Amino acid sequence: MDTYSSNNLHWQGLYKYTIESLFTSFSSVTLKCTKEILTIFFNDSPENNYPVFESVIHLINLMPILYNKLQITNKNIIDYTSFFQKIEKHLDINKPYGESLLNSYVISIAKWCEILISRKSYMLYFIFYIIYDFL
Amino acid sequence: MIFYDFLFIRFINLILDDQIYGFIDNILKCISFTKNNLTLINSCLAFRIIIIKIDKIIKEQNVFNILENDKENLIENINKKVNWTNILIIITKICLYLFDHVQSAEISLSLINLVTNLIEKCHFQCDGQILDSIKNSSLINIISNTTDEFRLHAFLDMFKALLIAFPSSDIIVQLSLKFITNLFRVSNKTIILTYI
Repeated sequence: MDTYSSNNLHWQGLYKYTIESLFTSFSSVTLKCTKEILTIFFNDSPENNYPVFESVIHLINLMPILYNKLQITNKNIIDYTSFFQKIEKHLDINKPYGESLLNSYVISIAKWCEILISRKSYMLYFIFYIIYDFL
Repeated sequence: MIFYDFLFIRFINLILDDQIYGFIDNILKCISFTKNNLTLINSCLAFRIIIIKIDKIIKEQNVFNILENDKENLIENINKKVNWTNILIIITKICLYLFDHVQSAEISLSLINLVTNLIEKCHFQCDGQILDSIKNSSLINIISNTTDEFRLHAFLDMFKALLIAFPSSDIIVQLSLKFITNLFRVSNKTIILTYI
């Protein structure tokens, strides 16, 4: 339980606030960098450098929070389906990083549900299909 | 901006695109594979967020009548596709194990509330296996060692939900009596009297 209550939360919080302040103060540059980082994430494998892979997952998991705070718009949010598929592809409990990736995967689901299961998304989904049918 | 919203929403809605059921299954698989307490806690907390979010959509009053009409289909769809009994049994077992190991009051409260939510949500589907899990667990010992009032309140809510869900069960009556006896030892009587 130590890891949950002390070091882990401390570093995650620091990371989160750093990225958030970067997005607030230098949004265009940070977004550009984020896109570069995401390219690495989608083309790379966790076996090569797992700490980097996990850091990118943390970065992607900040997107729902930033979206809720209106710091990024819809067009800058990644396709969550590809993101989850990428993690699921590498989920293997027998690998050295397996347990950690499993944990990151579960945390990612929780973070993304914040915006994916919401009244706003539910309503917009219906409005979109009504307009789509009408057209 | 609105245009982007519409484009975005095409792939954003987790419930209507049925992806949520895949996530629920995957979390259950994670729970069965992992030996790490941290992953178990995070899995339970992820479940809690999913349940809270779904309940919020179902319970909230919407401006548009179309959504109100579709809510029934949504509830029916969720109950058809999600095996709540299975989730209740697995999560209860995990939470009963975690109560003993988690020291953070905030996480304990979330776990107790998760079990309570699940009992309220799906007791009608459950055949009472959950009661055996509770009976065989060390829940009463955990409660007797609990001293903070927030956790005791949460446990009281949990027992209230159990009593309402399984009113004719002998096990739950015995457990409730044990629970209240233990509660008298550790808490002031006013908390209990407000619930009785």
